[in-house]
Amino acid sequence: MLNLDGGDLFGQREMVEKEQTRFLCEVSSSFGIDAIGLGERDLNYGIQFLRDMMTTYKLPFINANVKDSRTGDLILPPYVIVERGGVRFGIVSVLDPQQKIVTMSQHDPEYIVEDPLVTLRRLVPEIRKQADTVILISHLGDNLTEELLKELEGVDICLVGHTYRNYSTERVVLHTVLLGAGHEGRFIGRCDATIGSKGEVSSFSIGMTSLDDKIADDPVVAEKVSQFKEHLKEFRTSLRGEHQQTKGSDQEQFLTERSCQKCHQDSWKVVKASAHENAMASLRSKGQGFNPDCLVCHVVGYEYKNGYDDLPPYNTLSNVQCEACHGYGTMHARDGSMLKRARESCVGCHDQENSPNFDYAVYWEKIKH
Amino acid sequence: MKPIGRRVSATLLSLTILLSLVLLLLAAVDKGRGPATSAAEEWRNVTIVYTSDIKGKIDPCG
Repeated sequence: MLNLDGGDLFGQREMVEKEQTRFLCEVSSSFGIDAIGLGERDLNYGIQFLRDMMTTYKLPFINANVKDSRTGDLILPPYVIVERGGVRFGIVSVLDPQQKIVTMSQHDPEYIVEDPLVTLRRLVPEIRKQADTVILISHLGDNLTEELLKELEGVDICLVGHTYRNYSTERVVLHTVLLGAGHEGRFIGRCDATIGSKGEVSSFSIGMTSLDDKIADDPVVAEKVSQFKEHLKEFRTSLRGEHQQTKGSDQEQFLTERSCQKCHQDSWKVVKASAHENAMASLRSKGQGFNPDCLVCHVVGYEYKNGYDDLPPYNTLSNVQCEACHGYGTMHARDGSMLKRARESCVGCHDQENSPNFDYAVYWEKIKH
Repeated sequence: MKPIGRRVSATLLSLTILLSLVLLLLAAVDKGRGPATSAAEEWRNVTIVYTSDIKGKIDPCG
């Protein structure tokens, strides 16, 4: 049996997700994966973290077209040769150059992502000399992969990554069998193939298993997951550092801007058009979406009970919404007494360090409501 | 009777030798036909299991 993964194994650029990814790598190491195609997400925590996971948990990430701009060298092995059932499989992987690689690491180089077709036209003949059957892990999504395969000779099987779709029926592009397993671990695919004397796929069938509640958990892994979730609660609390949720009241709730706009449509439209609306996106673009020191000013009620957290339902309180300045919606709905707090709360975040040019009169005009 | 018996024995012996030669020949021919046997064996069945885009999830989302 050959075991492959199409890439994007790693989570989002946040500390909690990083911890979860570390655990996922640990568990995956027991699955005996033969090759993992690099996805852009797999660099979310930096190349060193990826290499640590590869070494510690023996995860065989491969990629043939991502290079370190400083050295011009590939950052991973371009392909692997794996023998199964008397067949030598050459497995190669490419990443879509249009995918933006953003890492949390301050030490990563710029990455050059070369044209997948040029890379593969050069590499596939080389792999063919060492293998009977060539498998491409294409982290290009559905459409770009199909376009690529129409231009490319010598690939027998292609696993598509960077896709939401699972291919539950048999698909072939020219002479290449296409495999796709969807996303977020919802499915696991199985391809039973008969390989001919020249390494070609002479026949195959596809089975797609939905990993829902009907599939019993492995008791050993289930226990590990349970223990990890407990650990994650503590980890989450420790991450907040001095920004624990101690302010406010358990009895109050932030109702989100969706509630506010029902009565304050005009005000909401003004604020919606301001930079406050993009506060979280701007943090994430700088790889700081996990940083408590920053989050406190980019979300609603970070230090307040029932305030922002990165778990549902509190993750809907991202960005500087109405209640970031006006306080709990439940209090406002009762007595409307929170308006005064808005002006005071501006300087809480627009301080000398973060907003040296802040002038209330000038800035207020931008969001006057 | 003896001479006849001797003749029968000689015939049987000849037949046995002939049969042995035929069997040896068939075995040799069969051995020489090796490629046909291995050609059949060259159809190899392999199972590939695969996942993708797990995105750090430890529980399936749906």
